[in-house]
Amino acid sequence: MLVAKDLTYTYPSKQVPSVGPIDVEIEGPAIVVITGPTGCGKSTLLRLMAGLLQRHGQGRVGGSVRVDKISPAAWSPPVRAASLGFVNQCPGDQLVTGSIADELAFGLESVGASVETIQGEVLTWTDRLGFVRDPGQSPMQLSGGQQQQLVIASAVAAGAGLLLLDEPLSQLDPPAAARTVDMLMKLRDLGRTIMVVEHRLEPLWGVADRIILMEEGQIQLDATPAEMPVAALQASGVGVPPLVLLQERIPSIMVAQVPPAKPPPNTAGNTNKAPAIISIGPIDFKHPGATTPAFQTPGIEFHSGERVAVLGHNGSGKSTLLELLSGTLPGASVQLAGRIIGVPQDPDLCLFSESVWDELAYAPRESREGNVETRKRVESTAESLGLTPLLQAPPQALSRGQRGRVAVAAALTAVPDVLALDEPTAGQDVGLLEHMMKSIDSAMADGLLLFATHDMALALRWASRVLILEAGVVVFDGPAYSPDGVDAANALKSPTDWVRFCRARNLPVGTVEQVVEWLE
Amino acid sequence: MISPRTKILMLLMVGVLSITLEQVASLGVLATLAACAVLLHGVEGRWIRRGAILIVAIVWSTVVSQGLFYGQEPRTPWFQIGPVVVWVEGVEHGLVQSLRLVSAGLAGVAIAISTPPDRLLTALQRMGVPAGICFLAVTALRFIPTLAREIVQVRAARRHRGRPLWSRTPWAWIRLEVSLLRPTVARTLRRARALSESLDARGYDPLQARTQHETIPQSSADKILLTTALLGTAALVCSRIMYLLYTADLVYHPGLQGLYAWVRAWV
Repeated sequence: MLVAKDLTYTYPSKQVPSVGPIDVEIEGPAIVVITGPTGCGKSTLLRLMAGLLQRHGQGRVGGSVRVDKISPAAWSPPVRAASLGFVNQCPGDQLVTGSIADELAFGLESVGASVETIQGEVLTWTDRLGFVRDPGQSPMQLSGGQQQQLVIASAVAAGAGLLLLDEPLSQLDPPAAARTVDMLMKLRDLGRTIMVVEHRLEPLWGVADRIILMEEGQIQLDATPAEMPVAALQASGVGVPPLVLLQERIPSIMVAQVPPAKPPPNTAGNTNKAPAIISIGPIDFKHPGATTPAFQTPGIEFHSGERVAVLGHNGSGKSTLLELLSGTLPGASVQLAGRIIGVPQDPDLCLFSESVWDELAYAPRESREGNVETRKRVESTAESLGLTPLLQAPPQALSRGQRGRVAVAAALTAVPDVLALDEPTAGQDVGLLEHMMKSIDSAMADGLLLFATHDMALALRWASRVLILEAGVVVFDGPAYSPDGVDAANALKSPTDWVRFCRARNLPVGTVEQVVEWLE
Repeated sequence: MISPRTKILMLLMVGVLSITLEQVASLGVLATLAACAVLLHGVEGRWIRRGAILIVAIVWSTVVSQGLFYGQEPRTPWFQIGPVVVWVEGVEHGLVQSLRLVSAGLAGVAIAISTPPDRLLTALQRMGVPAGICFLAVTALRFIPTLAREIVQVRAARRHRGRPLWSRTPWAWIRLEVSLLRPTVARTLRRARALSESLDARGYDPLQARTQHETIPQSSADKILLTTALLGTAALVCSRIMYLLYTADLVYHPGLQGLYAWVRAWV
């Protein structure tokens, strides 16, 4: 049993606690979801529960955490490995070895497992992960989503009884997320306790035993999904499953039996005859040391005014395509009629100024805009992306979600003709995300917006054109919605329940409000 | 396929040779051999260009500074522009120092790019280096390509949003270059924290032996290469010692006059 009593954490630069006081008891086995808006203290709470901040944090810890009456900070290393599995938001930063097999074996080695046990477990998990062709491959060569699955598997393989997972589904495609959730259910059945921090509740709603809603460092609500007031979650910007919201709005509607996906239509060709603003190919791109191509195409053109979503499973080549287009990866024949700006998955690498203001003003100043025009552009962009209160803050000191928005804002103040966003949803709560997409759409006007994402509903709502990638090949290129059914929503092999629900009624994939309006 | 243990020992020998050798020509040969080891591993053209620029910068700056500020006697002026004198011995000393650094650096790069970190870790442990130090060294090495990739991404982000670097004053250029370090340093600190938390949560104990040890056998080719390199290095070191003993008036043998002449000319 995990018990937190009067638990608080005060960062070194603050006078008052950023988290707490928290009083909570979690009796296992259970799946407990901790949710809340960006920056509400969810990740800090998780690190306190793991005993990490008590051991390594520079701030002040108040109160106590006990796991089976013992503080996790007092565990010896082998006990820690056998008792605790902790996975943070950045999977790539947690990889401690040079091969997939060693990564899976790491926790087992800490526990002191025999070589035979380790080899058996490594075989089992490489098989379960599905994407491992060579266990000796460096985990650094995997995509972000594959790395996320690997670090979760490594934590589970060591046999930890308590799993603390910080946004474990954020970079996973829907099938991988479903597999991970399935694995968590099985682990609960085996007696383990799992605490998951997540913004988006759709994959976890049906399996969670408890949902804890946090706001400003405090627990606001703690209830089962059935008892949880949906309006309170929505007000906090938490991604409530759209079918749950729809049922709230139209209680009579049958959402329990979502029809199965239709067979995918044939690949549709893009019929836009406008002059291309950017084109690529033909190309057969391989990463250094790789044997299979990361992306290949006979050629693709993109046009002004298009909103292009790039969808595909983890490792399908989405990021590679965007990096080839933006020139970050060399070797592609790209014809560009204008200015392209790419925002990578990791926004930190775009932020090099001392303050958010300077970051946003960098491009206008470089273009020798006047002070008045620069100020106007910075202020309006900051306002549209909810960054006005942060203008004087150093960008690198902000939260993950805030840094992502600053990177997008800095790209927009450069007035690009083409904007390429890689996973803009990471770290953003749902309310902010809709607002951000609206602002980007409006700012890009006649420009081209390309974005890679795993959020199907978001992609199908905001895109005019969708590219679906499989193993580095474009398998679908067509509209997000078409009344004749030859569209991306029907081409997806593993659509979410919401996408299937909308398509079963021949509706575009919209927000819950839009769908309610269309149904009525 | 040379085993990592052989490579580490070869690196140590390059280190010993770079200290032992004092002639520009012989150090040049050593640096060339190290460069060949790097090129044999199919490095991309852009990295070769960047590496070459870095080497030229190191050699040039060392030679110029030593050429201008060499203070030991005797010294011979090479040429003079007003009050500024460039000394022949200073230029030679600069070349020797920079070639030592370049040789050892290139040999290190050759190992880093040709050996997976886990094999390097195994080899270091097999050689008796403490587990914690092995892990620390290999982890630092493993993140060098990541760091290099991130620097490229930061520069690309800056390039996309701004003017070319050269279209500003030198002072503004330097300030901008320094500012580009900010995201890389911040990212590295974040990664270090995440990595340490991950190690801590996964029960890593640097004093505890790991249960799973891979063994990397030494092939016959490894043994031949290592023996040849060891004998060659030992012969050069012994020759140098004999020469030093002779110049210090401690040991002299008339039968070794040919060796003394060879060491003076080449070693």
